[in-house]
Amino acid sequence: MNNLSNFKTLLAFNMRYYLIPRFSNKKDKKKYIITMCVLAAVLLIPVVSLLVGLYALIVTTQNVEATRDLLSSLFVISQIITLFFGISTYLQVMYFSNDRAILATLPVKTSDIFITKLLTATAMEMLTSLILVLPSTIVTAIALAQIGYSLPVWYYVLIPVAVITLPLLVILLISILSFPIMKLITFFKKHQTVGAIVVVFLIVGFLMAIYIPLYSNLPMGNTNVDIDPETATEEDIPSALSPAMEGAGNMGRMAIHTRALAAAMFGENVGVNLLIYLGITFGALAIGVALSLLLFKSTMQSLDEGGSNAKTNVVHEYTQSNVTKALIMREIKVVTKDIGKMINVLMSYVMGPAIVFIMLFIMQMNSKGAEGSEIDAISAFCKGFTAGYAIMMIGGSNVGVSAGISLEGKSFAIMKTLPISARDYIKTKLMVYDIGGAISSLLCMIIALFFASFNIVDIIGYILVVPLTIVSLNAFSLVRDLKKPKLEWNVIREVTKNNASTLIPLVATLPMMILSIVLPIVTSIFIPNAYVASAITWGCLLIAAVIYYFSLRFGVLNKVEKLFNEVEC
Amino acid sequence: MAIMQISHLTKQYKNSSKLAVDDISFDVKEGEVFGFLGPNGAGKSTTIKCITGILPITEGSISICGHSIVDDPIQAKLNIGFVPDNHQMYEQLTAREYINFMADIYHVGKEDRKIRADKMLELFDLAKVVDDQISTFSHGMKQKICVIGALVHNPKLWILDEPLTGLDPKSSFELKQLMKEHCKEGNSVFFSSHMLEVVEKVCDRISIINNGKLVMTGDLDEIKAKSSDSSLEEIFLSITGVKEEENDFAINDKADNEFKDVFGDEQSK
Repeated sequence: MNNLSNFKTLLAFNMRYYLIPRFSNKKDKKKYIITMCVLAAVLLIPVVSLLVGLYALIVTTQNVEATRDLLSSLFVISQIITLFFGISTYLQVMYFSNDRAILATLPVKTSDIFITKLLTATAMEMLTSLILVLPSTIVTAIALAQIGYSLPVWYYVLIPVAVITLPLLVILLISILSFPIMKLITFFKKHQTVGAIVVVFLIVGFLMAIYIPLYSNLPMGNTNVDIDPETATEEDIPSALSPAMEGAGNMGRMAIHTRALAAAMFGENVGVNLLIYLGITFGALAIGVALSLLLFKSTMQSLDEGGSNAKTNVVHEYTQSNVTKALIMREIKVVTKDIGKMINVLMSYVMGPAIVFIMLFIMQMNSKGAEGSEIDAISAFCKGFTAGYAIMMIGGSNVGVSAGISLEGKSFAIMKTLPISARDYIKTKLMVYDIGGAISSLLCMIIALFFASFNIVDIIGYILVVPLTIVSLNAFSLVRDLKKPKLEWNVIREVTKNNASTLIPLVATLPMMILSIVLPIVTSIFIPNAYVASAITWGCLLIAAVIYYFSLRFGVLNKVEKLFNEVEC
Repeated sequence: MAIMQISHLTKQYKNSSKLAVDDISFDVKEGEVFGFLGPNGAGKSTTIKCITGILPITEGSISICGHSIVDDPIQAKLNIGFVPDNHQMYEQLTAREYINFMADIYHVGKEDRKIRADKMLELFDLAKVVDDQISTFSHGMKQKICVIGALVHNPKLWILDEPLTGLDPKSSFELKQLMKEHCKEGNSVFFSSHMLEVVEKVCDRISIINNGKLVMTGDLDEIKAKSSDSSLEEIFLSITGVKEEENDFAINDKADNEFKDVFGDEQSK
């Protein structure tokens, strides 16, 4: 009885601690809610567009069988997205939270601690699943009703089952990945920088290993539709769209488990299909839980133990440098030697180029056989996507700057006691992330050069626009965080996730990101000369980048002294 | 000559209506060890945070070696070495990297930092672990590294917030010796503590703060002369109101015993 009560207390505590953002005052709470609403409103545009597209595709093609496969594909996509966002959440909740030492002293079983944490991490991933699965299943139902197809009651009964169970398979994948990650972290305990780099590349490699084969080696259906656009009528639209519908369902047809779930939802052999789906899901979950528990028990103690396998018999000497260099080195060391901070910062710099590579690679694989204007359009999209994504990922999602002061935690007080100006402190911090951002964004472009035809105007334009936008966003993000840093935290997630400071830069990035993606496509359609199109595209983007610079970065350092002095810690 | 002058210092936190520090004034002279006493929540740490620039001040002024902490913070801070109560530092760095960082910030030459740091590392038995990450250190070891970081530039004013908490007797003795030596070189030490015996032995002058107000300042003889109590402990307890509370407890205990005598142990519970 006592054990059960402790378990419930621990579970309730974990759920509250990780799922409900906490604020020191009502003003902060209000700011966070407003930011979330703005972000949701902005993100609603592409989401609604996709849902409208889904609706139109189903209504136009009127192919129930293909719709079932499409639904299965959507389930797979939801699992992939849950995996993408879930890895860092899972690792932070399970292994990187600072409450390990406290929990170890409590009169509760390690397995109870593990299960409560696992349930918390799973609940967080179910939120992602809910956001992705619920709207698409509802839209599918509406569209099918529109064409007169009546879905069985199983469809509606299984929607919550899908929301709850789809992330469970992801737990297995994350558990498999957690094994080498935690082993590497333990091994590199005294060389955390190396450890963090290896871990980030391992995560990126793992995602690539899943995404690339999944997207690129799938048969995309018969795309050679023999319809002449000049003479096409409304009746030709379903035939024109059916290859797209077929292609979209290919992924769902290959995934046995989601295909079984979708078939059960459509009332086909409900018992057998449900058994297949739940058997695969819970079988995978059982393996995942067993693996995780094994790892959790061993890491619960080893992470807090001193020493490591790494040898450090090097004799060091005192070195001397100037204040700027000392501050830069401090910033680099403080971030790179803390695995939690390092992974969060590196994710932005490594994930940017990695996702650009994955996306462009997949696009190239899927566009084999394209010719003429199709190649130009794909190339224009690649350029725009690279610039837009680099700006969003490196400039808008970098917690190194958006939570740059908060991440200092309680040690920010040291900085206030040192004989340095706030201007120098912020300047050196920005220098580190500006250089990091510029390198990472240029890496994105170098990767893109292999997949899209960049002319000299594109290259110069990219070099001017993207880094300029990123450095502007860096200054904006860092100074925003300086206004009211969150210095009291135990789990890094409190700073990186439940913090308005990390969301606002993302919102600020969106106009430039959308412009970067849309402009190259528009100019490539309307301007036949590639150089002229590029010049107009990058000219407009440069104007936008300069506007960003003057509104977000110019003169911002003049404000920092006052803000720095006002911080109470 | 005063190394530090505090004049009408007042501090009110942003989200509080109460004054954490209420119009306090005192100075710390060259070559003296100055003890800052007060019960928990009296305003000691807030005062120290204002002196070191961690907290903005609401009213009044603080001057270190003639430099205002508000108007000329960099010059003021160059003369301070600070050891916080929570020994806050960059735990991801090795001890040597931390000392190097502090020395760079305070413009200490390579030779000077080596001589000063090595001397203190030997004194505190830390020479063997100087290249280990600070996060692996014990509470006391971190405290000692903080001390080395604070003294690497030989500051005119060494400020310590509750410095002896968590130190073993040997380290505690060595720290007190260091404080005295630092003052002998013409510098000053300002520290807060709960350890009245230590304050009594080490300090040339003391101040007692209670509820944000400065209650008493002076050397031990002056303070004893102002009070009817004979020891610093008694003076401290009567100033901070603990003594009255103790008397109240004593009266309650007496009443409780009388009750027990009449009704027995069980009923008294």
